Amino acid sequence: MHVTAKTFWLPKRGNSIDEYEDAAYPFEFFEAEVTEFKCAVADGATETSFAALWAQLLVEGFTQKHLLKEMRARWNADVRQRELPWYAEEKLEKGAYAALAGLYLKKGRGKKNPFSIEAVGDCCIFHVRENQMLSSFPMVRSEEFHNAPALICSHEDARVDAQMEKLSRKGEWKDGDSFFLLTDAIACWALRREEEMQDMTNVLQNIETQDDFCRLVDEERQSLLEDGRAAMKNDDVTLLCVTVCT
Amino acid sequence: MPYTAEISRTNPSCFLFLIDQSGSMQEPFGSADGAAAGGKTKAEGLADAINRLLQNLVIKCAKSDGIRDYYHVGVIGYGGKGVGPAFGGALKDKEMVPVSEIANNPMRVEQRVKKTDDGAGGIIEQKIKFPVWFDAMGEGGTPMCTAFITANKLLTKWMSEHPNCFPPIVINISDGESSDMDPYQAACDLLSLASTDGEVLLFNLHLSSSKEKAIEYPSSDENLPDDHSKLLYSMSSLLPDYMQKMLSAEGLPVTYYTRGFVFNADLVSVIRFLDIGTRPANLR
Repeated sequence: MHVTAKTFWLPKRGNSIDEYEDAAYPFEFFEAEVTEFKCAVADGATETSFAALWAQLLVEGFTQKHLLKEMRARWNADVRQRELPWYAEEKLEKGAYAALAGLYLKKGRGKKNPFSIEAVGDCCIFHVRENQMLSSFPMVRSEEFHNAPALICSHEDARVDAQMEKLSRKGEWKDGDSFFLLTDAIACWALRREEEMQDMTNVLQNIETQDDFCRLVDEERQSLLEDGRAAMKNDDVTLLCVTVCT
Repeated sequence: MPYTAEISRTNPSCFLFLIDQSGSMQEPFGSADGAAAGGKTKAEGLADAINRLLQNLVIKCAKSDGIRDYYHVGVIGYGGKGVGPAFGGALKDKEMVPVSEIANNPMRVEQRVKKTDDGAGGIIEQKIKFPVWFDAMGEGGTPMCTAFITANKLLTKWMSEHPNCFPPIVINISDGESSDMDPYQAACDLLSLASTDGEVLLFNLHLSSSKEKAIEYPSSDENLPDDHSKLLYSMSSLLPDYMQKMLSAEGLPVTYYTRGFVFNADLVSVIRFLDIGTRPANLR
């Protein structure tokens, strides 16, 4: 199967590039003939410590099939070798948190080509065929987004892990299908756009360059809904676009 | 919609604490939960609660590369020595302080032992660092009206520098009636200050040496026992939407008319009140 993947991204307005706390894998443009393909996006919780590092480890862990236990060990080894002031040491004890959504595409042996999705938190994956959205997972409507989804922690804690809900879904892909992996601010905006104007897939598929993406995000961050809120919440935004052909 | 402004380094918000430092604050907490206070005086319990709150606020704003100044914090004490900034050490006499300065300037860092449940019926003792910015104090009368007037001047100046801020939250903590003047008008003047995102929020927390049960977040003054409690209630803001949701999530009854007010608070309700009052709204 022939897969292309492109990532577009922008930090929160007012933050520098270094302060971007989402992650995506692959981050650079990808195009190849493969028999299987894994990709993921993650969104580090800004109130937590070294969240960007944790988001990056999670997307690498998903795509390279490392266990959560291993990624937790790597996060801890990295942060504990640093010299930190009292508040950063205290904050480390609480760990880092992030949402994650990952997609696995496989070339089927028969006529059916399977895919599977795993998600924790409010990153989303859209499955699009011929400009129509077939599904959104795990969030389906824009009103489902709120400020406190259960996330993956960089510490092993039975109580926290019990609250974490890993959701998964399987399906089939067909020649020419697209998948969009989105972190929450742009996912919420996209679902609302689809609910109100039914043109969201067009808008996403017309993004060809990073400049196109920046223009769209800037406009939507400034555009206001009827209740005065911004159409797109000011937060780090990441969009990973995947197209697959047989 | 009010109380939805984004809190950021370029548009910080602030917390202003007005702390009763009168002589009666040296008395112990007296409620049924006195055991939870561990024999502490109201002044000691309050100082610990504020120090812990400042610690948590610093940690919330901490990133890998330092502290993000999402908030400025002021602490005004009012008691026998008059009304003025209550920070000690390097922050002495400072009125509104960005979180990064608070982080880097505790008066001292104490080593304390924290006992936690190990999940298997045992207790783990953990050594923790407890930074202290504020010491317990209590003597003289209760110039609450002057404290509100001072708060008004301070916030008028701060808000002129931050006109689009998420509205400041003022938390007044006292254990008795004002001994200078009726504070009602001064509180109303404070409540009339507003940014483009809404009016200043004023919450009142009354500490108790009696064994009466705490009255938390009432929606009317019907069940309040006396004129003083009704006065404090009338001087307390309605809870904004996001705080109503927080309280509701903790299982507390909430209506549109619920006010940010606790009467006869014990140490547990002090800590909960401060947590609800200072949990960030729009920091995701």
